[in-house]
Amino acid sequence: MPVQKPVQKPTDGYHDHPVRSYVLTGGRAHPTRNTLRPETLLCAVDDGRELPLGAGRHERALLETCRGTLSLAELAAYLRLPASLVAVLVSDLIDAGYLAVRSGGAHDLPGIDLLEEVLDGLRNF
Amino acid sequence: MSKTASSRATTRVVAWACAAGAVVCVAVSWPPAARASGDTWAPLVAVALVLVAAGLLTVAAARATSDARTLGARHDELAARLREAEAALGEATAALAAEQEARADQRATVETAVVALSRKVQASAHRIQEEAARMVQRHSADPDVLQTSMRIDHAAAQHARQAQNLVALCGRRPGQTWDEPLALPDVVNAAAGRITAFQRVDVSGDPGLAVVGRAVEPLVHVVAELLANATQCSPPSTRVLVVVRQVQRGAVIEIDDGGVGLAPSELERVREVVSGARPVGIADLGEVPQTGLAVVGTYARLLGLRVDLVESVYGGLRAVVLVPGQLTTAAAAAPGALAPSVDDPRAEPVSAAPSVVPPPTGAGTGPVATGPARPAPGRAAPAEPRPGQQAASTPSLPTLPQRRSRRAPGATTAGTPAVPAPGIARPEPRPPAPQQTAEEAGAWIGAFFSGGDCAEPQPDHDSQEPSVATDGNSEDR
Repeated sequence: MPVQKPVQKPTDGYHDHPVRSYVLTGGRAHPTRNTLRPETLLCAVDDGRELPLGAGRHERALLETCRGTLSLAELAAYLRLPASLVAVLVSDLIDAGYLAVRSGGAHDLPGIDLLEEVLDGLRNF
Repeated sequence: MSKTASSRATTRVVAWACAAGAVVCVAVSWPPAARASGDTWAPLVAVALVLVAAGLLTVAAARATSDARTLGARHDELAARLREAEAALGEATAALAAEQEARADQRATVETAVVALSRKVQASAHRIQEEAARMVQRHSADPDVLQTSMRIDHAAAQHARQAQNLVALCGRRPGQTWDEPLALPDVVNAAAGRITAFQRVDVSGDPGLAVVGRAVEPLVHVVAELLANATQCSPPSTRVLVVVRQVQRGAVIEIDDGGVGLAPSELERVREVVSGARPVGIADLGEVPQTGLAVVGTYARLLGLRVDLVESVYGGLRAVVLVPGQLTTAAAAAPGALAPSVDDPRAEPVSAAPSVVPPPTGAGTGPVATGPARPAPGRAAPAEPRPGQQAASTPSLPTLPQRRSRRAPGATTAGTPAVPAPGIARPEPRPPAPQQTAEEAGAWIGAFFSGGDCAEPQPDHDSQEPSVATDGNSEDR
């Protein structure tokens, strides 16, 4: 009697969930900051502060996953959510002070000269 | 009739007999003195009077007889007509019963057709949602795509709800089913996703209480209809407050709106509908169909929920849903999934369908990343077990590239899942197959970029990797 989803092949990888993504973000699709890139490194702020009681399960799951430093893309992969959606959730946690952006510009890209030297060296190999 | 006639004849005979008797009596008992006196007229007058009386009586009797005959005839006629009418009534009753049966059949047929069509519409709405999720997965870094996908998803969710309303009004269970329990605040969130003004819903309350899988969809639908009602009946700038709490007999969901409430008589009617006491079917809706509360009543009956509407202290209405204890359960410590998701098509799923979610919060006691034997809590639970995957995964296991846990192997036995996937060996025999958790990956990359100063949550003590879904990613590394 229960009609299942239409033609859902077992390997097509789609997993439905009763809670929709727009509810998690309150309908927002754009993060509060535009500096979040898939490679941005994130780290939970370990200052002993607990999430407020009213915090959603998604916020808790994000913080749990982010105990070490993770890039946003990895975080999205672990949570199996689109990176753009994770960016919105993460930006809220950064704003609230629970997550910190690591690195930022810490790992400066090497200069073009160095890159050219490496390239030359490789070619000579 | 004949009895009446004979009684009339008897009356006549008696009348004549009386008259004759009177004459004889008068003649016999007349005193000789009177006879002698010559007063001979008196007896004659008496006899004449008696005769006249007898004649009058006879006439009256005759008239009564003829009246009785007329009455008898009419009586017969009426009786015949009554019999005819009775026969006609019997026929009509039989015809009516047949007609009712035919109509019930017809109604059942119509309802079946409506259910089938509605389910098709609902399935297509879910298909749209799935496509929207895939679109986001393909362009996973683009917020504009996410925005569009959310709008499509939202519209399709409402579409699916309306279709499911029709199914419910035909008295059927919802077509969508969920296997996993869902925490009650998430039930409210899921319900909010199906109404237009989902941003106005504020939910608070016990996150540790969940509702069992079979009750998830009906309960989400009930709450969605109550939320739709609450948001429509209150000013658009107000918020709708939802409180979830545990009670002795189960759990309660309270929905308060800031509207103007209802007139007492109307409230009484609506309460009968939502509690399920007055069933409202698809044929009872009328020209301006109000489906929402009727659906609430239907599911309340099906599930054994107690739903009531009372006046809210805010002036509007408060909807109270009591979920009986047999439908509630403890929520999993870690959400199995957060939202609909699409697996990375390049990563083939390795583990069996997740059945047990290891609690990731118990620092120091939890399991370590030990390989694919662990279910992946980060993955959305599929609606049905997927045997194909499981079968396919088992033979390919030995060839999978694996990453090694940096923990001592002895530490890995702590928290293996209660139900390991069948056919998957314990992790120890595969030492060269390391696998990394989110946390380890984070620690490693943090150490790499900053010379080790950010490696606080090192695996040795702390341990618990939260939602890990390493299995799916392990193959393409």
